[in-house]
Amino acid sequence: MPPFLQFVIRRFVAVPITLLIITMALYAGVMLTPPEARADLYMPNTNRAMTEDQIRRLKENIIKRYHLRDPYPVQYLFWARSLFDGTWGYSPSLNDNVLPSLLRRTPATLELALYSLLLLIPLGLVSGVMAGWKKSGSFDRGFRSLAFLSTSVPPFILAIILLSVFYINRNWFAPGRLDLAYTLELSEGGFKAYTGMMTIDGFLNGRIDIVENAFRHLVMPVFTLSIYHWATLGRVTRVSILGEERKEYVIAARARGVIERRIVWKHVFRNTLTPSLTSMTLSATSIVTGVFVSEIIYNINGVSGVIVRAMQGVPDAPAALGFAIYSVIMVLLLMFVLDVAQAILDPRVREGVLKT
Amino acid sequence: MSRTRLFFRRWQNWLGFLLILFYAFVAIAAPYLSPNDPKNPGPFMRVGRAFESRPLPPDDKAVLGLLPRGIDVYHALVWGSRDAMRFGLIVAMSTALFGIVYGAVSGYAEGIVGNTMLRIADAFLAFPPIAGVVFLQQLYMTTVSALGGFVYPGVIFFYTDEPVNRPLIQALLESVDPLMLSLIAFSWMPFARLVHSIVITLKQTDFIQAARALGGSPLWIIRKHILRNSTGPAVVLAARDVGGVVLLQATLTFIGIGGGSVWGQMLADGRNWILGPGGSLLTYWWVFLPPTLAVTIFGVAWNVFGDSLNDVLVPTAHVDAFPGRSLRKMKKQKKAEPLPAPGSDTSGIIPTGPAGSTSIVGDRGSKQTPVGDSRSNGFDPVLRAAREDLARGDLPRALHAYNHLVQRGRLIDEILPDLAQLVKKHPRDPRVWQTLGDALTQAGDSVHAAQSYEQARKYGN
Repeated sequence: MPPFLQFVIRRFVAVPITLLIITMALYAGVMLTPPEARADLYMPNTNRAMTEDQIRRLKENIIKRYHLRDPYPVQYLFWARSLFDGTWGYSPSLNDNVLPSLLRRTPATLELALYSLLLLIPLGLVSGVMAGWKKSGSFDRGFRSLAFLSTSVPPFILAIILLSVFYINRNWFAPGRLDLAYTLELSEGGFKAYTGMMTIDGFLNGRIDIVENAFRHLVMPVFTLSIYHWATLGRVTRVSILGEERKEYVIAARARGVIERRIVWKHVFRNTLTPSLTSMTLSATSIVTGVFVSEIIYNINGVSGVIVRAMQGVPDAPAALGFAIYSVIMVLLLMFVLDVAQAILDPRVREGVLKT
Repeated sequence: MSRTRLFFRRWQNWLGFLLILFYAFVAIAAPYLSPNDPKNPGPFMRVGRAFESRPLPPDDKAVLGLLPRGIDVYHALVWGSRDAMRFGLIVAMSTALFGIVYGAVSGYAEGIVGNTMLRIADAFLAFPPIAGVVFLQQLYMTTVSALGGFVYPGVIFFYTDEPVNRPLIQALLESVDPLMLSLIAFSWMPFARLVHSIVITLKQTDFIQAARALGGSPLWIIRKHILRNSTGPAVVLAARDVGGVVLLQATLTFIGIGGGSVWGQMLADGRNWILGPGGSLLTYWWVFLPPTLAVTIFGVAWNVFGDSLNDVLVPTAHVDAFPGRSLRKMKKQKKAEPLPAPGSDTSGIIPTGPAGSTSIVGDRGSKQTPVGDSRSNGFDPVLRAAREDLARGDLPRALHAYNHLVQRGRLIDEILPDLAQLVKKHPRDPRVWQTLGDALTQAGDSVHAAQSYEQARKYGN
């Protein structure tokens, strides 16, 4: 088996293991509640006309059926098995099963995350390399002040400023996913949803105006989300490139007459990829949190929509638990993708020299 | 002493430090700066009329104006900094404490236990705190409603039943903020990883080996040696955390996920006035600017402060920026030791000593000696062994022990007088001169080090 494939498989195996540990920790949290509360995780869509007595009997049944008075391992196993039935419990605040509503909202979240990552990773790497190569040059100074500024302003305050300037005053960009007119048009049918991502579906349906409109709504959340992580990534890249100019391979390349641009982008850049992408992997949770925050501020009905209603006072443990598991899966997949990207780009991993 | 001087050498360090001092002052003096209204305590004090939905501009009753519903901005700002300071410090300190202990134990244990612990820590790295807050709060609300309590649609939930057999989660969440709990539960991993790696490095150093050989129990060694040596970098991490945690709290409060940040709540309350009418952010500037600046500067201050602590506490960080030691210490050392007569020609170039002498810049583990270590009280086992060897007249063994200490940069202040005595006794022994040179290099006295190396070369041939 080629070493690259080995690496990918090893990383992929880590995903379910991590998930196992996290779900165990989550269920340990659930164990702090009394069995009656735990029964909520399995409650079906109860008819509102049910009497208190009926509900109590129903709960009693659930407690017996899922062994909710038994020790932790037994309960955990029953609960873990129930995750595979594809509903993840019924959420009263959504009036729907949790997993389907999570999946239905995924494209919006994915679109936002995708464009942010596509923007921030190349920009972060390139500006970090440019800043670090000419240390204390004008680009470096500019980069450092901009990075300082963008990590200082909290994302939600940036969002307020952007909304005020570009939405309310200028009306260049807008929150939400699409203009109301398009939303209505879409709900009438005729527009085929291939991926659920408006920018891609618009193309596939031949509706460039929808694509344009979707992008107009994406600008602000994508900017809010990416600028902070762009700065962090750029800084890490910059630091890892700092001493590189004096390294022997650079001198050797210079001596061979390799032009400067080629030295930077062909030799040095490759070497700094590993620490940069590792730092991205470590901030995956903060990226996912950022996605949710952006969604809520800019009123995009993405995955975080599952919990917004629940946080306004409707007790909804299934939604919260489902949301937690789902966001962990998102983080893990993001980490996995970044790992694989690193493996593709880093020749040491690709050739199996570096054991990670 | 030198650390303090190191710290105040750059103006950025001053800035972060003074800003934090200012916030701390406001936090402590909040009851004097803006006395609480006994009838309506808490950060949101109603000064104006409750039905006033417009935010009123500053007047002589409210220095910074009012939020909608007649809430005093100045009062909320002042008490908000107390809230932020408390929240940030509690979270950062508990996170750091747990992470450090976890990392120390996992690093010390190694083997299956250590690996499993590390794997669990890595798994926790995949958990976004936002999901943790939601999860804990929902558990609480579910518990309350399942026990026949009453959930108020909004922020507050009441529990009406007699608290006979209160479930743990309720007790937990009534006394602790769920955001605080989930931040502690899901952000200790960086500390654990950091300390874990330090411990792995430290375990191979001589003083831990010696402590083990002397029969120190694992707990004692972790507490006495390992924890002390790994606090520096962890403190840096914690300082940066304080700001980050408070920003996250404000963010989550602003979007209505809970958290209870006063500044975040101020912005959330004024949101419609910031964004809606007036056409500009600054039309109702007293709604927008005070909390925004407070929260932004708070984050910046702690970040800058963390960076400056990094200069001081992480030994490898400042080597480039601040070569050598502080002037005062060097003067003290010059007086303390009788120096060898300078060789005839002292070239200005510092000869590169053997292996250990370059370890001023050396690896992180060995330079992380405890603060008080350079002036220890003679209890260091290696130093004691060296002196005993010397007393027995076993010069090579003693020198070997001294070399170990020198190469790790430990107890230099105590070693230097010993070596000076030795040089007097054996003025023609190149090994002694060599060791003295290394020790002087470690102490930052490169001129005299060069002279010692010169002597060593002279007698070596």
